[in-house]
Formats: sequence, structure tokens, C-alpha cells
Amino acid sequence: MSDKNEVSSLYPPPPPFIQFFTEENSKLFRECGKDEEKLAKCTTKQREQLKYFVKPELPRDGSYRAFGNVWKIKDELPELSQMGIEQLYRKRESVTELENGTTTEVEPSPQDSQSGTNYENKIQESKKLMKSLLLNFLELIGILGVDSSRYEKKLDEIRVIAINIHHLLNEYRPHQSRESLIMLFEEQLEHKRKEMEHINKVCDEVESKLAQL
Amino acid sequence: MTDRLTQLQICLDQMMEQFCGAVNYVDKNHGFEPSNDSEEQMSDPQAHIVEEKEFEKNIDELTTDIILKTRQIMALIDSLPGVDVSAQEQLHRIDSLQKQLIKMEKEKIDAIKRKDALQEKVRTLTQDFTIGINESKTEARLV
Repeated sequence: MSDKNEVSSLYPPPPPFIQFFTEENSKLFRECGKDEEKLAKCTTKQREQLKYFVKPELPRDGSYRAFGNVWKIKDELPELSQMGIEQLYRKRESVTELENGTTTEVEPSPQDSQSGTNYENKIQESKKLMKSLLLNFLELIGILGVDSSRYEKKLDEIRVIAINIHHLLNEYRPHQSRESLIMLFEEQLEHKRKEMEHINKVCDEVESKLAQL
Repeated sequence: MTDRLTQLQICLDQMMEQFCGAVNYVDKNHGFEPSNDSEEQMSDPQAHIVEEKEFEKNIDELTTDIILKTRQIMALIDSLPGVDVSAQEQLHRIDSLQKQLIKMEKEKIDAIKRKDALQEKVRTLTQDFTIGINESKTEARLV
């Protein structure tokens, strides 16, 4: 018995109103909806229960709390500047401007400004950041050797670089997901093709055998 | 196996840990080397001082580890998928693959239909055959 109690304390029990979500009620809700007239015909108890079927409004300030963290309703990567971290790598806008003159035109769209378009640049930038991370660590070691009380500034710089790298990598994620999707599709296509070929081969064999009879 | 980006981020975190470990090691085991000649060598009876040779060796190991990790990270960065394609190109590719997939699925269903028909044909054929054998047997017996 005590074991069960421990487990139930891990996962909080479902909210009590889930028992209102019966087949009967959901049917009633589909019929009535928000129609006041029809709702008036229901009993008070039913009305009370049907209230839970109406979807709650989204939080106004665009974020909510869950598991001790603040989450944004729109799932997007906040800009570094929004987190109060200096952005060390080159901004995309300036890069695309440079690129536009020479290579393919990059259509600016809201999605692009979020995820960035030039991934070649990202690679270069992340390598640069990696190198400066190493250099900064070396500097930190140097500082610690001479005057260890001055560590704080350097440590903070290392922190900023590390956060920058992480952020840069996270910006790359949508690109990687698309790439993974492409690979998945290609695999599936190949699998289906093989399957089909096999079926057709067997059919051909059987047909030729039958023809010989 | 996780995706490359996650691997990269894990590597980065590992590198940070290596940094910490290295600094920590130097802090715990150094031999109070004075930073310039005018300074006197300090000492602390409670400090754990590692022999110079051993110390050098371990520092060497720690640095090698950090360098290896850096190389690993660089290699991972280089192997990130689809560096030279833009998001538009990717979306186009996804679109065409999707169409191909749907087409392929239709073809597959056709192939399966063909297979089913053939299966049925073979089945009736065997049935006819066995019935035929049976009949000829009974006929033979009757005769």
C-alpha cells in the first residue's frame, strides 16, 4: 500500500473534471456547442460539466509555466539578444546581402529570419567560435597563473562563447530535421521499390511457370 | 545514436568539463611554482604536490584530451548534413520525394493486386487439379 502511495506522489492524479468527459457529454457538446438556446435546455449539472469542453484561451502574454520553466506558446528559438547574451557570430542579414550579389538569391521570409538560410556560414562561424573558445581557455589558464583574482571576466567570456555555440547549433536544427526527413523519405522510397520489384519478380516467375503447363 | 547536432552539443559540454577538470587538476596538484624570480616559492603542508614529472605527464594528457575533443568537434561540424543546400532546395526535395512516394505506393498496390489475382488463379488451378485427380481415381475404382 505504501508503495502505491509513493508512486502516486510521483505522478499527480488527473484533475477531477476528467470524469465529465463521458461519451454522453461529448455528444451533448457536439450538439449544443456554444449555442446558448440549446444549452439552456440542459440541466444545470450538464451545463456545469459542458463548460470544461470549451477550450481555454491561450495565455495573453504568450508564455506559460510548466515543469518549473517558462515556455513560449509559439515554439521558437529566442534570439541571443533577448536572453541578454552578446551575439558573437555574424548576423545573417549581412551575410545574405553579401551572398545575394554573387550566388543564388535568397528570398527573405519570416521563417528564414528565424532559422537563417546560409548554413555554410554557420559552419564557418561555429568553427571560429570553437577556436576562440580554446584560445580563451588558454588565456584563462594564463590569467590564473599570474593573477587568479582576475578570472571572472575571462570566465564570463568563455560562458558567452559557449552559449553562442550552443545557440548557433540550435539554429541549425530545423535544417537538420529537414535533411533527416529527406533521408527518411529516400530510405522509404528505396524500401518500397525493392518490395515492389520482389513482388513483380515472383509474379513473373509464376506466370512463366503457368505458361509452361 | 543521437543526431549530429546533439552529439556536437554533448561534445561541447564534455569539453567544458575537460576545461574544469584541467583547471581543477592544476589547482589541486601544482608545486607552488613562483611566477617570477623575485617571488619566493610558497608552500602549504596540506597541499598535495605531485612530482614534477608526473605533473607534466598528466598535464600533457589533459591537453591531448582537449585537443582530441576539439578535433572531434571540428570533424562533427564538417559532417553536418546538407551544408550546401538552402532551405528552399530542401523543401523542394521533400515535396518531390513525397510525390514519388505516393506514386510508388500506388504502383505497389497495383503489384499487390496483380499478386492477389495470380494467387487466386493458382489456387483455383490447384483445386481443379486435385478435384480432377480425385475424380479420375474414383472413376478408376468404379471401372
